Amino acid sequence: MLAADNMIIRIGNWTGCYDLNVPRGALVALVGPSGGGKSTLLHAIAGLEPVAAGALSFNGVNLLPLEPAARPIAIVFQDHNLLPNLNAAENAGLALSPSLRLSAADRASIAAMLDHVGLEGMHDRLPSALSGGQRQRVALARAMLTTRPLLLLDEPLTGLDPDMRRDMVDLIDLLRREKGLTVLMTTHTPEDIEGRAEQIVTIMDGRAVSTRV
Amino acid sequence: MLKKLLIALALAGFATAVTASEKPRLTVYTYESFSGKYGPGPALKTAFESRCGCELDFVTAGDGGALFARLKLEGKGTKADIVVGLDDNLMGEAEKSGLFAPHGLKMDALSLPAAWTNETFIPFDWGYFAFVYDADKFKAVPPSLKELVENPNGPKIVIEDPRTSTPGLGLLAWMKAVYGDKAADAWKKLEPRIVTVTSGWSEAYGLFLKGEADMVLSYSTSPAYHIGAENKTNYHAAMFSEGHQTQVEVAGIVASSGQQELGRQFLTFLLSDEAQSILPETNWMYPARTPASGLPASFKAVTAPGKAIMSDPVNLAANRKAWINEWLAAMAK
Amino acid sequence: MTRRYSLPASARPGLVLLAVLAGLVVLSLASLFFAAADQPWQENVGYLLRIARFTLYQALLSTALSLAFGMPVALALARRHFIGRRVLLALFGVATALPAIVAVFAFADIFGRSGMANCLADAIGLWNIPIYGLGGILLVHVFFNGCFAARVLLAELEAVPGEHWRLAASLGMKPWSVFRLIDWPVLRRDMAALSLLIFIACATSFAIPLTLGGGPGSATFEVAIYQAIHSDADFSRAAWLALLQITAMAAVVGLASPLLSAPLEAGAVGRPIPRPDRHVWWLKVQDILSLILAVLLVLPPVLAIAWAGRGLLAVLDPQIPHALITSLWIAFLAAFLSVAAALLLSRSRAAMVTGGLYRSARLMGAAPLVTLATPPLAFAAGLYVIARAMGAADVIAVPALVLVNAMMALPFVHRLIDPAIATANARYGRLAQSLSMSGWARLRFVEWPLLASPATAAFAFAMALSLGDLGVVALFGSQGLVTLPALLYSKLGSYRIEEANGIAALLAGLVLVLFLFADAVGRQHARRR
Repeated sequence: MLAADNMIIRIGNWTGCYDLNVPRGALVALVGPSGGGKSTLLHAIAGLEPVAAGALSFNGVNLLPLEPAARPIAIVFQDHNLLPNLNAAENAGLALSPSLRLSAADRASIAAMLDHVGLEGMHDRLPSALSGGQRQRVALARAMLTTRPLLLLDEPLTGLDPDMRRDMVDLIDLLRREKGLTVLMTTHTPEDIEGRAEQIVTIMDGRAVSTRV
Repeated sequence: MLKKLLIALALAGFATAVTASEKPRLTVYTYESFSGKYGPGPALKTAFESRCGCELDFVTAGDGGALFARLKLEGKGTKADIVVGLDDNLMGEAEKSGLFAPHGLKMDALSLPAAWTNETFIPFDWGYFAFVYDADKFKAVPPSLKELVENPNGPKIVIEDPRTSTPGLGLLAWMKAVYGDKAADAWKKLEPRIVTVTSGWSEAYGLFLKGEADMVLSYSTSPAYHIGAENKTNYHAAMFSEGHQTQVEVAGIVASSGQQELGRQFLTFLLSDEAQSILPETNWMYPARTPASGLPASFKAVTAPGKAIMSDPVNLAANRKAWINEWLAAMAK
Repeated sequence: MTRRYSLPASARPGLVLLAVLAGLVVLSLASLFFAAADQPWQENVGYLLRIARFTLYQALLSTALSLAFGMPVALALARRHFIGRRVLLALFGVATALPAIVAVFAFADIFGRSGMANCLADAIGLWNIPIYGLGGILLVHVFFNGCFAARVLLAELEAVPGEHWRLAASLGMKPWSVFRLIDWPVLRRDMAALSLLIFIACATSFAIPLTLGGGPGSATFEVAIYQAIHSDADFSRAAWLALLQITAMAAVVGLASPLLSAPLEAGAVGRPIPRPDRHVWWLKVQDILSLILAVLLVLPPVLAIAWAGRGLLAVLDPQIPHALITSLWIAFLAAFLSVAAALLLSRSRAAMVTGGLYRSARLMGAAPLVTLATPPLAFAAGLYVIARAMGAADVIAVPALVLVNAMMALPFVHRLIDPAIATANARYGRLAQSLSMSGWARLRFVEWPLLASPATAAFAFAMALSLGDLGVVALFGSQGLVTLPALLYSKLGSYRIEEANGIAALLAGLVLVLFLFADAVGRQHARRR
C-alpha cells in the first residue's frame, strides 16, 4: 500500500501538500485540471522531485531516503519516453540493463513482453517509425520488464482515439491483474476507467481534494 | 528595417546636398591615420580651406596599399582629385596605371637625401626604416645590418611581412641593397631570431611595445613620437653603418580630375612651410622640405641615420615577386 | 512505402535566398575579374600549393582541438550550475567575436614571450611557452572556435527532453550509459556540421596564422588573396584565388555531407531537469578540470584587454560615441539580415526533410558555409565594382558593410538556430501545414518558443561579429563612416596604442553586455512556455 502523509513539495512559488492512501494492487486514477499537480505527485513518488517535508511509504518501507533507481517504482511519462536512437527492443531492454548488456534470456523476455503489449513485428523499429500509441506501449513494456510492484503512468491515454484508449486501459488492467501491480494513473478522461479503478482522486492546486470509489 | 535603411540613405543624400555649396570641392583620397584625429589631415584641411576658398574632403582607405587598390578599382571614373599617401614602392605601379597626371611643379629646395626627379608624384614626407628598441631593456645594440643578421646571439626581432606591408617590403629591399645576391643566406641566418612576422606595422609595433621582441622594424622617427607625445626617452632607433632604406610618401593629381588647377594648388600647399611644419608631429616622418622654423624638438632629439638608401621604384616593381619568392624560400623552416 | 519527392512551398523562399547569395558571390567575383582583365595571369603554383597545404593542416588540427575542448566543457556546463555560469557563457560569446588583432595582443600579453604565463613559468622554473608557431595559432583558434562549439553543444544538450534524464534516474543508468545513450547521439548529430563550420572558419583565417605563426610559412590562402588585392592590386588573380578557395571549401562540404544528419527528436522547453550523473565523483573531477581549463583559456585574455584599456576614461575621445553608434546600428542591421536569412534557409531545409529530399536537405544545411568560404575583401571589392557600374558607388559603403557582415555571420547564426527550426518542424510542421500557417504566423506561433533562446544568442553573435570586424571599411571608408574597429586601427596606425587598447576594452565590454542581455532574453522567452 502506498501512503503519502502530508507530503510537501515546493517548486519555486508553488507548494503542494499531498495526502494519499492507495491499497495494494489497486488501480487509482488521478484527475484534475492541468497544472494542478498530478504529474508532480507522480514525480515525487518516483523520487524525481525533492520532497520538502512529510512522509511517503510503500508497503511500510519509507521511500524518501531512497534514490529513484532504488525505489520499487516504474514510471511512464506523458511523452519522450523513448530514447530516439534506440529501437523498440532496445528501449524496452533498458529496464533489464541500463547499459544494454542483454543476455539471450533477456532478449527473449523483451520480445515476449513486446508481443504481449501488441507490438508484434515492430521490435526493430525506431521511435520515429512508431505511432504515439505504439510508443506508449513500448514504454509500458519497459515498465513491465522492471518487475517493480508500483507502476506510475502519466497521461498514458493522451493522443489516442477512443478505441485505442479502451485497448490501452484493457492492457493496463490485464497487466495489473497478472502481476499484482499497484497502478497510479493520471488522466483527463476518467470515464475511460470508470468501473475499473478502485479510486478516483481529484488533485487540484497541489492537494488531493476528493476521493471517489 | 527597410524603413531605417531608406531613412539612412535619404539622410546621406540630404547631407551631401546640403554640403554642396558654390565653393569648388577637392576630394583627397588618403589613408586612415592621415586623416584621423591625430593625423595631419584636420590641420591641413583647415589651413588649405582658408587659403583656397574651397572645400576639402578626405576619403579614407585602410593604408597605402588599400588606397591604391581602391583607386585601381575605380579606374577612370574615380571621384578622387588628389591621392595622398602612396609611397615610392608603389609609385612605379601607380605611374603605369595611367591614372595620374604630371604635377608640373618645380622640385627644388627639397630636404630629401637625393634629388627628386619623378614628374608625376611629389614627395611630402619621408623616413628611414630602422630597428627600434627600448634602451631600458636592451643594451647590446648592433651597429650594422650585417651585425644584426650574423650575430647568432643578437636581438630577437619582430618584422612585417613584405607580402602585406610596406615596411616589410622595405626591409626586403634593404637586405638586397646590403647583401645583393647573398640576401637569401642572410635571411637564413636571421630567421632564428625572428620572433614573428606580422601582417602589418600596427601588429608588429604593438607586440614590440608589449615586450615580445627586443627590436622592431619601424621608422627612425618612431622614437620622436614617444618623446614628443609621451615624454618617454627610452625608445631609440639603431643606426646601421651600411645606411638605411628610405620610404618617401608621395601625392599626385588624378588625371581624370576636373580640378587640375586646384589640385596643383594643393600639391604646392603640401610643400609649403605651413603644411610641412604640420606634418612632422602628426605623421611622425621627416618633412620633404624642411620649413623655415626647422624641425620640432622631438625630431632634433632623434638621431638621423648617416646614409640613405633610396628606393628604385622601377627595379623594385620588376623584381618584387622574385625577391619575395626568394625570401619565402629562405624563411621556410 | 513510397518516397515523396515534393518540394513544399515553404522551402522556396530559402532556396531563392540561397540562389541570390550564390549569385551575388559569383557576380562580385566575376566583376572583380573583369575589373582588371588586362593583367597577365602568372602564378607560382608551388607556392600556392604550399600555403594551401598549411591552411588545411592547421584548420584540421584547430577543428579537432576545438571540438576536444568544446565537448567536455559543454558537458560540464550541462551538468553543473554554479555562480558565474552565465558570465562564463557570455565570455564564450565574447571570445568568438573579438577582432583578430585584439585577440593577438591579449594573448601576447598573457602567453607571449614576456607575458604573464611565462613570468610565472620563469618564477617556478618551468620552460617558456612558445606562442609564435603552430601552438599559438591553435591556441587562439581554440579560443575563438572552441568556445563557440561549447555554446552550440551545450544548447543541444539542454534541449534534451527532461523525461530522458528522469528515465535515466529512474532506471539507475550509469554515467557511461548516460553519455553513450543520451548525450552522445545528441552531440554527434551536430558534430559534423559544427566541424565543417570550424574547419572553414580556421581555413579562411588571415591575421592570426600570419601574426602568431612566427614565419611566412604559416600563411593561409587568404593571405594570398589579401596580397593580390591589397599589395598588388591584381584583381583578376584575387578573383581566381577566391573562386579556388570557395570551390575547395565546397568540395570539402560535399565530401562531408553524408555525415550531416537531420535531427532525430523534438527538443524540450521549460524547467531544466537536473541530470542523474551529477553526483558521480569522477565526473565531478572531470567537469571541474574542464571548467578550470575553460576559465583559464577565456578569462585571462579578456581581463588583459580590460586592464590594457583601463586608461579609456582618461582619454575620452569625442569620436568614440559616434563610432559606437555607427557600429551599433550597422551591427543591428547585419544581425537582423543574418538571422532572417538563416531562418529562411533553415525552413527550407526542414521542408526538404519533410518532403523526403534528404540529400538536398543535407546540402541545404551546409549551404551557408559558402559565405564563410568567400574572402570578404574580394567579395566587397567585387560588390564595389558592381555598385560603381550601377552608379551607386557613393552610398555603397554602408550597405556593403552590412551585407558583408551579415554574410560573415550567417554560418554561425545558422548553426545556432537550425536545430530549433528543425525541431519545430518535426513537432509541428504538419500541423502548421494543415493550418496553412506560413511566414510570420509560423514564426510567431510555431517556431518562436523553441527559437527564442538560440535566436537571441545568434542575434547577439551576429552583432558581436559585426562590431569587431574591420572588413570592408578598410577598403571603402569615408570620413563620415567611422566604426569602432576602424577607429581602433586608425589609432594603432598613429602610435596611439593606449587609446587603441581602450577601444578594444570597450568593444569587449560591449560584446559581453550584449551576450548577457541576449542570453537573459532567451531564457525568459523559453521559460514562459
